[in-house]
Amino acid sequence: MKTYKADDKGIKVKAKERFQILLDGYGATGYSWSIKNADKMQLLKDHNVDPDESSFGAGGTEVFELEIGDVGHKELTFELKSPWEDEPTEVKHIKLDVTD
Amino acid sequence: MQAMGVEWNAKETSISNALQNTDEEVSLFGLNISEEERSHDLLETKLAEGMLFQVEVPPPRKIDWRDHENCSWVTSVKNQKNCGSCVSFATCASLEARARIKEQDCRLDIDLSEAHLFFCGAGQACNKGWNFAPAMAQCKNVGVGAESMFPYIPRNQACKQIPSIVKIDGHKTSASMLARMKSIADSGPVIAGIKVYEDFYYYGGGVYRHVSGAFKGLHAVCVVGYDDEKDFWIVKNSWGTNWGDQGYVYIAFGECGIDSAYPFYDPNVVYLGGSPIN
Repeated sequence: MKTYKADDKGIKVKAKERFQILLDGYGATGYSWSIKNADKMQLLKDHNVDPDESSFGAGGTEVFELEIGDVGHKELTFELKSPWEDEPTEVKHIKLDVTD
Repeated sequence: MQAMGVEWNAKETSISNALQNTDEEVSLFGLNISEEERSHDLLETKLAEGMLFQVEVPPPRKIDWRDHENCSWVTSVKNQKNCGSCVSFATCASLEARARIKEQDCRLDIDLSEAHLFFCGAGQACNKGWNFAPAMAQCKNVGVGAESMFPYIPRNQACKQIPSIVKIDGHKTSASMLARMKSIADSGPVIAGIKVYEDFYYYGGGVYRHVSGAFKGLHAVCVVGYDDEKDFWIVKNSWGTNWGDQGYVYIAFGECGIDSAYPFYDPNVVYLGGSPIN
C-alpha cells in the first residue's frame, strides 16, 4: 500500500486502490485529526493512531487508510480539533490526482 | 459511564459519539523512557522500599494546595493547546506553587514562561515532547523567566534568552505511595506522568478511571493534592478550563500509571524574585 505524508505535493493514486495518508499526531495533547469529506465520498477505510512513547507530549502519527472509486482531481480536508473546543485549531487540504 | 459503574462523568461534546469502545491495539507495556530516567526511577524505587522506615512524620490523609490555610497556593490553569509542551507546563505549575509556598505568600504574583523553559530547553519540540530529567536540568542550570517576557504560543519558536525569576537547586523523586504523599504535603505540588487514553479527553468530573478508548500517548501533569480516604490524586492539567473539572481531574490511585509507572518529581525551588530587568 502506498503511503503519503500530508505535506507531499502532487500525490497521484489509482482509483479503487487503497493508500495511506500520514499526519503528525497530537494525541497526548487532546487533539486529533478527522477527515471532513470522507462520508460523502465513502473513501475512509480505516483510521488509527500510532503513539510515540519515547517522551511526554510526543504526538506520534495518525494514519488514514483511504480508497477513492472514481478518477479525477480530488481534495481531502482534514481538521485538527479537541472535543472540548468548538472550532478546529488547524485545517489541512490535500489535493490528489486519481487515475485509472 | 453510569451503566459501566464508574465514578466519573463524561462531557457531551460535538464528537463524543465518535468515541468507540475499540480494543486497545497499543501495548501498555514496554514504555520507552530514556535510559537515564529509567535507571534513576529504578534506583528511587529501590530506595523507596526503605522509605516506610525513614518517614518520621506521616503525611496528612488529605491535602489540596488550592485550598490550604484559607488560601490557594496554586496558580491559574493554563492551556498548552496542540503542542507537546506538557512537561514544561507541569513543571512551571509546580514551580509557581512552590515559589509561593517557599515565600509563604499565597498571593505572590508569579507567572512563569512555559515557552522559555520548553523552547530553550527542548528546542523545536512541539511534536517530539520532552522528558523530566532534562527539564529538571534546565531549571537548575538556566531557570525560568516571566511569561510576560516570553509569551507562549502553541507552535515551535526560537529560544529567546530572558532573565530567570525562578531556578531549582536540585530535585528529589518519590516512588512509594507514602513518599509521594509526603512530597506533596511537605513541599507542594509535584510533576507527574500519566498515560492518556481516549476517554480522558471527555472527562467532566468525578474520580477518573480509564474505561474505554485507545492509548494516545504520554502526558505530564502537576499533582496539587490527594485524598487518601477516597483514594485519588488532585491533578492540575494544562488543557484550559473548558476541559475536565475547570481544568482539573481527580485521578484514582493506581490509574494510568500516575503513581506506578513514573516517579513524582519534587523540585527544590529558589525564587530569585522581583520584576525581571532586561
